[in-house]
Amino acid sequence: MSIYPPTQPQPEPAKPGIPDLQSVAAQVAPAALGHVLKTHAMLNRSIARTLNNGMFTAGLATHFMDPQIWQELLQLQSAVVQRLQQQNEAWLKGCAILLQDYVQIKDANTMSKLVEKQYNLVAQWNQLLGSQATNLMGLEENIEVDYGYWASQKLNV
Amino acid sequence: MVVSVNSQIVQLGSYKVQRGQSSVSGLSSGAFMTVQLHLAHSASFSGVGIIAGGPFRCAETYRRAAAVAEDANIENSLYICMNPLVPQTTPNAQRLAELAHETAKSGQIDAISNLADDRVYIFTGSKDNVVYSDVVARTRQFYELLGVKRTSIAYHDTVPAGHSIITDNPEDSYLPTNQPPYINNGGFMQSHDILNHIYSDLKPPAEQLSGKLLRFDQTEFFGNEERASMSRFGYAYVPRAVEEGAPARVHIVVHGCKQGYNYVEYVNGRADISNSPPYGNRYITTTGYNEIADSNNIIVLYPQAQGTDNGTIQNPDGCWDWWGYTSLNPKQPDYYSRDAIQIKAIYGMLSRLGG
Repeated sequence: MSIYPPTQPQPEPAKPGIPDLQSVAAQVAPAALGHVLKTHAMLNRSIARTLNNGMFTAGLATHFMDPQIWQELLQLQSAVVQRLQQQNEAWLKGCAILLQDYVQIKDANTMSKLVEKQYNLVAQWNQLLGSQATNLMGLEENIEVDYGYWASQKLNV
Repeated sequence: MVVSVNSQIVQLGSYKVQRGQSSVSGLSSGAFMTVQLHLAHSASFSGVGIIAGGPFRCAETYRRAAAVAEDANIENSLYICMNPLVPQTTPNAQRLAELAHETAKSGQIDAISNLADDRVYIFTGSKDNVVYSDVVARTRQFYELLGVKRTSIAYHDTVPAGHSIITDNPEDSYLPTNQPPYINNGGFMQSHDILNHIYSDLKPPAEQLSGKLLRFDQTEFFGNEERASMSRFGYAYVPRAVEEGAPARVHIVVHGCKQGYNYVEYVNGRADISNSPPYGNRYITTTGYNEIADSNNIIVLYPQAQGTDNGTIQNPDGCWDWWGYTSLNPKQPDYYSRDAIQIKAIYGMLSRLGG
């Protein structure tokens, strides 16, 4: 242990469970770069998968007389439509509930309750948008993966 | 009937357990883990119960899903092993059976021939929209391909249940529900059906429990490593007769995602510890396992997984690992083998008990 007093004031140690602001702040710049790179990598993955699926589609063109292929393609399409319908139902249900909440804002008795109700409405709206976006993105990935998997089986690759 | 656990933390003990007579059952991620445990240590088990689970190494079905194996496994899990669009995009049981043989040949799991005389219970609710019935149908096919006799497999797919373990508790969710805690009331105890299928000689469940529900520190079984994503405590129900020295069998119960005792809902990506109480031990105390175990000298072991969602481990729902999140090397995941940290830990508990 050093016997000399520190030349600069030392930061107060972080409380247990609470991250130290300075050390976290030091990680922000590399993390931001990491986010950009990750987004780029994800987009690349999606593009690669689309290209791969495109090649599979070209390969399947040689089987265009096979009724089994067409039948299964139709099944895939109707499964996608069904999932979209389910998402649409969830969206309409969510909007209906939010409208009901909106109507009830006027019943607040205090200013703090009014702010709370308004904030809750915004938060619920964001949550609905977030879950719709996540589910839609999930469905897109689902289609990409399942189509590629299905086509690879048909082509035996 | 609800059994309580006192405040003591004990060390898991040893009993007079009949080797090779143990069994395991689980729901959802616990069902995938059940299949993995069964294959990894088939010499130790005589039967399994699988509720809404897919075949062994299902997450490795379609490697081309992504450039990195780790990412491909996650996408396979979600879109082929849980929510395939059509039956043609479910896992290929034939390929996975071959993979199981290859895995056994490489010495990572026990010999496949051990499965031949095992009893297998498989269930999928016809209203399940978390793990689709088409996937679970592949699990049956998978076991048949591995040599399990058709007559030894009880396959149920007609009950209009959502994703859940079924009980007859009035408090539990409406049968077609697909929501946590994934314990639904269907007017019967599924745990009893599972154990009655695995062991044909069982007496009816006890009206009054004689034994003790023990809380043990399970960290000793995984070296307290964070990547295990396992909780501090595990639980075990030990019937009184077994405690007094009677011969016993062990049944391992593997909960599903969002069902560990200390699970807390993640809201907007963060554990909501200020609002939501931990899930508690409902899966351990109200699913009926202890009652039927009590009258039949069966020790019920309840290992516990916990949610972790940081840069290294992405398991916010506290699921058991069936896609590789615990693997040290993401390029060569070992989540299915005897060396997998969770399988090693659970097997360590079974060995300690004497099985």
